Amino acid sequence: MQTLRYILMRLAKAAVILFAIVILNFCLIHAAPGDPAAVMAGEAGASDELFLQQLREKFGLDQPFHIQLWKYISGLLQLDMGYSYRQDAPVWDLIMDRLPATLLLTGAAFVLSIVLGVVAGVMAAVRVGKWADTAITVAALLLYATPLFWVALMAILLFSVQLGWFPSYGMESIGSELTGFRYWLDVAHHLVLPATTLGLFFTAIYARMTRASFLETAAEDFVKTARAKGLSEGRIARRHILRNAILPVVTLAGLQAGQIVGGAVLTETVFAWPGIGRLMFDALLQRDYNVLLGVFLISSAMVLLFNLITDLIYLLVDPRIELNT
Amino acid sequence: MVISVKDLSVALPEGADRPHAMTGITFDVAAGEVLCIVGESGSGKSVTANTIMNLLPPGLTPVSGTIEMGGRDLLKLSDAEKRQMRGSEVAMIFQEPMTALNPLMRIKDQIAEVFEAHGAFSKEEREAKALKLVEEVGLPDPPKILRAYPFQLSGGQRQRVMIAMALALEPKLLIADEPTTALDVTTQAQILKLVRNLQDRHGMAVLFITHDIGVVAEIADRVIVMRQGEIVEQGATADVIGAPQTDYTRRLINAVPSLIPPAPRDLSADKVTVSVTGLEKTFVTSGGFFTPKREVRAIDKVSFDLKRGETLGIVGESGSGKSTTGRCIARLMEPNAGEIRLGELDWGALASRELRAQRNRVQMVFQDPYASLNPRSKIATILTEGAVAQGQDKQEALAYARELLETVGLDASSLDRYPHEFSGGQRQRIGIARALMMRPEILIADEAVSALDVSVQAQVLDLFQKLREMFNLSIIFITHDLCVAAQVCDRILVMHQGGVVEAGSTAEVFAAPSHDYTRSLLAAVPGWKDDSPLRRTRATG
Amino acid sequence: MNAFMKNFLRNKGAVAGLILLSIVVIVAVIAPFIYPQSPWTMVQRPFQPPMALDGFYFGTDVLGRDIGAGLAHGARVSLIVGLVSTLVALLIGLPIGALAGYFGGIWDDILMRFTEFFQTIPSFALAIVIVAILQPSLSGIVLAISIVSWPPVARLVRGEFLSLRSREYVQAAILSGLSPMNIIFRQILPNAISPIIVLASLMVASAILLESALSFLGLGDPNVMSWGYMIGAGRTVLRQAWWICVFPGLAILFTVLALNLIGEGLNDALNPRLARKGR
Repeated sequence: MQTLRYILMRLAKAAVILFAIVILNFCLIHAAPGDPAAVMAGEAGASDELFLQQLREKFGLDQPFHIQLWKYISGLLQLDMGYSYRQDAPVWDLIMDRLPATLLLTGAAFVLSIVLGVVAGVMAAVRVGKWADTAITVAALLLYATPLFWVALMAILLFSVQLGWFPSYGMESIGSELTGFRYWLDVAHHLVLPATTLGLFFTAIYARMTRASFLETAAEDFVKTARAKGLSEGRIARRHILRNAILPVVTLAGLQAGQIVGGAVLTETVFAWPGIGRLMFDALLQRDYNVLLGVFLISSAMVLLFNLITDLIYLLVDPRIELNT
Repeated sequence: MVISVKDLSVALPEGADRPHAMTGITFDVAAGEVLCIVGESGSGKSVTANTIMNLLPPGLTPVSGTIEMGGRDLLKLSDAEKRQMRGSEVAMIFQEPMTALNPLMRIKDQIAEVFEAHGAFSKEEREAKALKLVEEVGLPDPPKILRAYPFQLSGGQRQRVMIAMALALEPKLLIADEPTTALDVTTQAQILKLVRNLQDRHGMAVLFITHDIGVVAEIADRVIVMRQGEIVEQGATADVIGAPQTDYTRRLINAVPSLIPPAPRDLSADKVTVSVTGLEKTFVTSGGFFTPKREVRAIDKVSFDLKRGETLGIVGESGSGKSTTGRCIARLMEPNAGEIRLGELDWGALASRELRAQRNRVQMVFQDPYASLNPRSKIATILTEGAVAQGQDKQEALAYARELLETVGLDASSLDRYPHEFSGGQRQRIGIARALMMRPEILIADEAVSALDVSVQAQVLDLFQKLREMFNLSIIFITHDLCVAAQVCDRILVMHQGGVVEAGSTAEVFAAPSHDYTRSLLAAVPGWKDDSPLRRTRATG
Repeated sequence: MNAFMKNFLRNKGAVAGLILLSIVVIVAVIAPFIYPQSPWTMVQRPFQPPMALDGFYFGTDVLGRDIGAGLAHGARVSLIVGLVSTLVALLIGLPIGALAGYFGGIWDDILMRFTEFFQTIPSFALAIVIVAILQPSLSGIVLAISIVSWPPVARLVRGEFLSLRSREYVQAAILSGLSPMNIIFRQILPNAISPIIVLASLMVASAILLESALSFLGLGDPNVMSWGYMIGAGRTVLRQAWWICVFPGLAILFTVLALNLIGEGLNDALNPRLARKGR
C-alpha cells in the first residue's frame, strides 16, 4: 500500500515536471528566430504577404498565446510534434524512427558506467593508499577532465584507424543483409566504441563517488558493530559497507541520467550513430527548430523515465524510503 | 578470572598532546562481576575497552602489556583467532544505538549473522535462537521486532537488540562502552537493570565504561577511576565512592550534583518578571505538493510565573517539549497560542521591529559549546556585535566585554582570540558573557551544562548561581538532569509529551512528587537508591 | 589563512594543478604578443605536421592556419567563458539557494521545485537549444552555460543555509537583535563560503568542457577561435592529420584537469575534517 502510494506519487511528480517541460518547450519554440509562417512559406517557395496571412490563419499563428499553447498540448497528446519541411516528414515519425538506436546506446553506456564505476570505486577504496587506489584515482581524474567527443575521436584513431578492431561509423555494416543473431552481433560490434566512450566519462564519476562513499560508510558505527560480531573483512565490505555505500551512487546515477542523454548528441555525431542525438545535430546544422525542440522534449522525457527507474531501484534497496515520502 | 589485563600501554600517534592514550593499566574481571571504568573525556577509558576487543582505530597501537583470557594473550592472536574471539568470547555494545545497527538489514538477519560468522547452528535453529534472544532482552512482540528494520525501533529498543546480539554466543566477557549515555533517564534505568539481570542469569563478566558516577554507584561491584591514561584508584564501589583515597577521586565525586536539593530560599517578596499562560506549539511538517501534512503537538497549554532573581527548572526527557518552551519564550519560535508577558509588556505579541529593539531583555545560553560561537569571529566581535546593533558605543561595549570576561572567569585578553582556541568549558563561559552583554532580565539556559565534563559542569553551575545574585537575573534552566535541577532551581516544572505534569518548589517536588511520571523519573536517576554509597556520602556531607 | 596555504601546498595534486593553470593563464595573456596575427589568418600551406616547418611547432590545419596560434588564442576564450559563466551561475544560484534555505517553508518548496525542474532537463540538450535560438555568440554561450549550471549552486547553498540557520551561534545572533541582512551576510555566508569556492572551481572546469562541446558542434562564436571549434573542424580529416584534433584536445584536458586538481586541493584545505574522513 505504502509502496503503491510512493510509486503513484513519483508518477504524479514526473507528470507535473513533464507538463512544465512541455510549456518550456513551447516557449522556446516561440523564441526561436524567424516567423514560422515565413519559414514555411520559404520552404514552399512562395513568399507573398497574402500567402503568409493564409498560412498564419491555417496554423493558428494569429491566435493568442494561450490558445496556441492549448493547441500545442492537444497536438502533443495526439503525438503531433509538428512537421519537418527539411526532411519532409512529421517530427514524431522522425524521432520514433531514431529513438531505439539512442535507447540502445545510452542504456549500454549507463549499465557499463555503473558496473565499471562501482567495481573500480570499491577496488580503490579497499586498497586505499596503495598503488591500485592511486592508479584508479588518477585514471578517474583524467577521464573526468577529458572532453567526451575528443575521447571518441581518439578511440577512432586508435581502435579503428590504427588497430582496425572496431568500426568507427554507423550502427550496422553497409550493404550486408545480415539477419537474426548475426545482425545483432554486427550491431554489438558497432556499439562497442560509442558505448564505451560515452560511458567512460560517467564511469569516472561513479568510481570517485563509490570510493568516497565506501570510505565514509566504512567509518560508520554499524561497521564497528559488525567487526565486534567477529565477521570477516570481506563479509563486512560486501554486506555492510557496500550495500549502504551504494545508495548515494544510485541517487547520483539518477541525476546523471540527463547528462548521458545529452552526451549522446556528441557520441552519435562523432560515430554517425543513427539516433536522436545525430538527428538533433543535423537539425542544428539546418536550423530545423521543430525537430530540434522535438528531440529536446523527447530526451527530457527519457530523463524522467531514467529517474523513475532509479526511484524504483531505490525502493528495492532502501527500506526507509517509504517513510520519507 | 575471566580476563587479566597487565601493564597495558597504547601509544598515540606522533604529534598528539601526550605520548600514550593509556599506560600501565592493570586489572582483572571475574565471572559474575561488573567492573566499571569511570573517567572524564580523554581519560583513556574507551581506548582500554577497544584494545581488549581489538577494535582500536588506525593510528593507535598497543606497545606493551598482556591481555590474558583463557590462557592466551589476546594481543598475540592471529587475525583469524581475533575474529573468532570477537562475538563468541568477548562481545561489545556501544554508545550510539541509533547508528550502531545496519540500517538496511532486518533485525533477524543482524542477529543471525553472529551465528553465521562463527558457524554456529543450522539456518532454522538460528532463527529460533534469534527469537529467544529478542524475548530475553524484553522487547515487545518479538516476531515483529525480528522482521523490523532499525529505523522502526526506538533508541532503547535498538540498544536491547545490540545486547541480544552480544549475548548470542554466551560470551564470557561483555564490554559496554557508555551504553546508556545517549538514552533518556528512564530508558537508561531499564537498560542498566537488564544488564544486571542478564548477568545474574548468565554469569558473565561485565566491563562497563562510563563517565557517570551515578551509573557506577548503580551498577558496579568494583570500580577503576582513570585520568589522562592512568589508573588513579581502584577498589570496591562502596569503598571508592564512600571513602575515596585520592584527591582526584574525591574532587570527581564531590563535583557530582546531588539529587538532594539544598534548603529553599525565600522569594515570596519578589516581583513576577515573566508570566506565561496557555502556551501551545504545533509543528506542521509540510511535505510540499504531494506529501500529506503531519502535525505534532510539541507543547500543550504550558503556564507558569517566574520571579525576579528566581531560577525555574524545566525538566523532562527528549521530546517532552522543554526546549521548545524555551525557544518560544525567547521568541526564536512563534507559539500557536498563549500569552507571554514580561511584567506589563505583552512580549509574545511584539511585532518584529519592536521585538528586535527589545531583544536584549531575554537571552539564551546554549547546549553545544562548539556550535554556539561563530568560528569566524573574534571573541570581541562575538561579544559586542549585539550591543553595538542595539546602539551602544563600540568602545563602551568593549570595556564592558572586558569586565564581563573577568566576571565569568576568563582573561580580558581573550578578546583578540578565536573560539577554537578555547576549551568547551571556556566557550560556555564566553556564551554566558555574550548573553550578559545584552543586560538581560531573563536568561534561558538550554541544557547549558550537559555537554561538559562533571568537574567543569560544577564550576559552570557555580557561575550561574553567582551571576544570578550579581545581576538579579531570572533564569529558566532547561535540563534533562534531575541532579543538576535539584541543585540550581528554586522551582521545578516537570514536562512530559508536551504538557506540564507537575510544578512546585524544588524541595517539595523532590521530597514528595505527586505525579506518577515524576516518581518514575526520580526513581530512574542512577546511583541514588536509599542504600547507595553516593547518597550516604552526600548525606553526611 | 596561513594554515590554509600550508594545507593547500602540501597537496601535490593541487600544486601540479596550480602550475598547469598558471601556464594556461600566461599563454592566454601573452597570446596577442607571441601570435600577433589573427588565428584565422592562413599563414602557410595546409596540412603541415608539427615541427615540419620552423616556427610552426604544432603544424597547420586544413586551411593553412597556425594551430599554435589557435591554441594560444583559444586559451583566452576557454578561460573567459569558464570564469564568466561560473560567475553568472553563482549570481543565479546563490540568491535562490540562500532564500530557500534561510526562509524555508513555502519559499523553499517553490524554489527547490524550480531547481529540481532545471536539474531534470538534460543540460547539454538545453544548452544546445538555447544557443541555437540565441544564435551563436560568446554571450549566448555564456548565458546557456550559466542557465544549465546554476542548480547545483542553489542546492548546495540551500543545504548550507538550512543547517547553519539552526546553528546555535546564529540563534544567538537573532537574540542579539541583529538584522536578517547582518545574519545572512556576516554570520551564515562566511561559514558557507568554503564549499561554494570549491564548487565554483569545479564549475569553471565543467563550463570549459561545455563550451568546447558546443563549439565542437559548430555552435561557437564564429568570430573567436576556440579549442572545441578546432577539433570540430579537424575531425573530418582525422585520418590524414591527427595533430589538428589532438593538440586542442590535450589543451582542454590539461586546463580542466588543473582546475579539478585545484578544486580538490581547496576542498581538502578548506574542510580538513571532511578530507580526513574521505581518505
